[in-house]
Amino acid sequence: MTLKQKIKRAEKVIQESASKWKPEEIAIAWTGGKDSTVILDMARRVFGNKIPFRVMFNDSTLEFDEIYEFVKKYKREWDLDLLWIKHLDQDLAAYQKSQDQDEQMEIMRIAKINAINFSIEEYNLKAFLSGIRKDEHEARADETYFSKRSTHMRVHPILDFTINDIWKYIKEYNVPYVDLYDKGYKSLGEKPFTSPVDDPDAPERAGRDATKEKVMKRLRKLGYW
Amino acid sequence: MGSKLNNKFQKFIFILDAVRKDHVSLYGYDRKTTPYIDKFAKNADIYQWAIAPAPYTLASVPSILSGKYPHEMSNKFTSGKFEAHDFKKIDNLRKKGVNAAFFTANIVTSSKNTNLNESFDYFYDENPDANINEAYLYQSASKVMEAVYDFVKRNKNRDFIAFVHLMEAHGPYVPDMQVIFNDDLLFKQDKRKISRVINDALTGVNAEDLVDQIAVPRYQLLETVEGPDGLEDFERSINYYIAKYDTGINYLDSQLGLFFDYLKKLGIYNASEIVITSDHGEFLGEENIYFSHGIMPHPAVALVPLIHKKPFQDKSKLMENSVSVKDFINYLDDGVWPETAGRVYSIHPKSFGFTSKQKYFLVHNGDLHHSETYKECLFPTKNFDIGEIYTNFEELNINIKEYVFSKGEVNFQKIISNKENGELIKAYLTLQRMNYTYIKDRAKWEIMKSEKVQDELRSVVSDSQKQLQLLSNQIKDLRKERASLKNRIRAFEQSKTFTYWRLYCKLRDRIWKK
Repeated sequence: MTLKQKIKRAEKVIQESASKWKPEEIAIAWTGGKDSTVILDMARRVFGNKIPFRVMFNDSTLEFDEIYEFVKKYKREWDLDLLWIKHLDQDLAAYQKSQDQDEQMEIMRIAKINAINFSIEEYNLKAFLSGIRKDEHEARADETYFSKRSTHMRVHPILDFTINDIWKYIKEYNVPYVDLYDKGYKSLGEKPFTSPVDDPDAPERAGRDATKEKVMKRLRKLGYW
Repeated sequence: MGSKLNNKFQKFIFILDAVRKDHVSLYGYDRKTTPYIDKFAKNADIYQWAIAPAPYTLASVPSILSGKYPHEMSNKFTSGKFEAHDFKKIDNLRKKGVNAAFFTANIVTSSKNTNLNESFDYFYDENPDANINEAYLYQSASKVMEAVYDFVKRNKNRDFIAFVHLMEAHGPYVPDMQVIFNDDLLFKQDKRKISRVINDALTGVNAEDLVDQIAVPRYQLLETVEGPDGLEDFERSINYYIAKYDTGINYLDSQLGLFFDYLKKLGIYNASEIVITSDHGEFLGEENIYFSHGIMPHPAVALVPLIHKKPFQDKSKLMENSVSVKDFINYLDDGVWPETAGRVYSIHPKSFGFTSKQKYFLVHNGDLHHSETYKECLFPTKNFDIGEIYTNFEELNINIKEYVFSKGEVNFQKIISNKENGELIKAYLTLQRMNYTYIKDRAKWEIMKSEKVQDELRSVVSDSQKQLQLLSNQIKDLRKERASLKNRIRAFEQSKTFTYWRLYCKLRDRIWKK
């Protein structure tokens, strides 16, 4: 598929979403990163500059300052119906209490799903558009544009985009992005767990810490089993 | 079948990790989780008050192997490294020519995590290298049992003692197994849903948080969908998790059933001495804690099954005395379970529980709990932080025996000497048995009185004549049971005890609110 075809496909997925659910039942998950910003841009083009859906920003309180500024700026400029969802106080308290970086990462990952679940229930959301891509992670290989979850539908408009497609799109349509990408960051997560990468050929998520196996080792050490 | 001429020393101790007593059908669970254990128990002693020495594996299993409480061992809870003298009892048996074997499905008791292997002649610990929630975190029982079959075959004419530690009841609950028990009333009536995921070590989680939430540790989640940024979805129904837990118990039971058949075929079943027990139970909602253990020796975690078949035992016997699971190895010395003066312990670095006259008391962080009713807690619990406990003890080099018992004992005395608390405890102890019966009756009544029960029964049968007859009989039985429950509840509510019970509830609410 050419980039043009991928864009067409993505726009169709966004339009299909609008026909399946009421606008207030749909949220675009916006992290302030390049992929979800591309979806916002597409939605703006599809709907004539005004996105009829909600836009959800999941605030871990640990994002880069540049992300916060970016989100605030474009909320205003694009007149977004923004749901600013801060992580649950209890999860943030647990994060503060933990002394162990692996555990802190685990708590933050959990906090994300808790916040999303809270929002889905609180705002009665039925569909959730997110910027995941197949080439980003092996866990995505079998994903589909519309992917059923137990409480809602995940919609993945840019599933077939590669990282190069994303940057080409950003340049072609003049989409704004956080300047951290120009400073060596390949993918943006929470500030304490994300670092710039020197090698331009490194995988996209090279600067993001992974926790799974470490958590497992810690559990074993605890003898928790 | 075995003959009485066989006087070999052949012992099996099955440690079914995380199996709580009240989910074994032998002990009255509504689901038929353990048909083979139930059958096995017809020729065994059934202990009603068996206490696990600790609420988590790394403390409990070595304790069971050594005959000592965890704080009496050389490493004082803190690691998997033990001194040879910790396992003196096993060593004594080995010196007498008994072949000592340990088979474990659990990575925690494997040679990767402990030096337990140094104390056995044969040690099986082939564990899969699995990631959390992607597959089993432990070796399957069928695989471990293959090694046990092989061992028995090779040693059937020798003296041996074999400890077998199996894991299917441990979380995450049998992720690759089809759920059973998902079509009964227990399943249909339970509408609870998980509302929050919490970290595995429960860092920063406390009782206040849990009052309005159903929180489950991350590693326990089933049917998960994962993305690069973390979890995206998981099964939320509490009834599904409990049915899966029960499915795991049922699977272990079937493995034991097959193994007993094998021993019978070899002709050594009757002569063998066999113990079935657990290293700890599991919280299934008690104190609003779901699918976890290791936090404290709460009765849901401390009270475990213990079924003990002696060689050539041909009758079942109900044992009302309290015993510690750790004492089986001591029992082997002189043929009787050690005298405990009616008091045995379950111990944790921050708390301890003990039995007294068929009651169970728990002191945790200065809070007193009391219950055989599982859901009762006299005072709210603070601080479930598992990780903190270990860090403190490792770093501060605290004398656990002194810390846990002395501090616990002082707190216990303080609590009971407070006049208001004292009254509450007295009222509770007086009312406990009646109260328990009432609560059970009341809960059942709520289900029974619901017309839904009959609707649901109707929905599961089709209109064939035979099934209609079956339905009609079931409804008749239900009506009978409803009538009997109604009478029992009415009798209780008219009794003096009920007045006391209401007073007790008021007192308890007042103390909790302070």
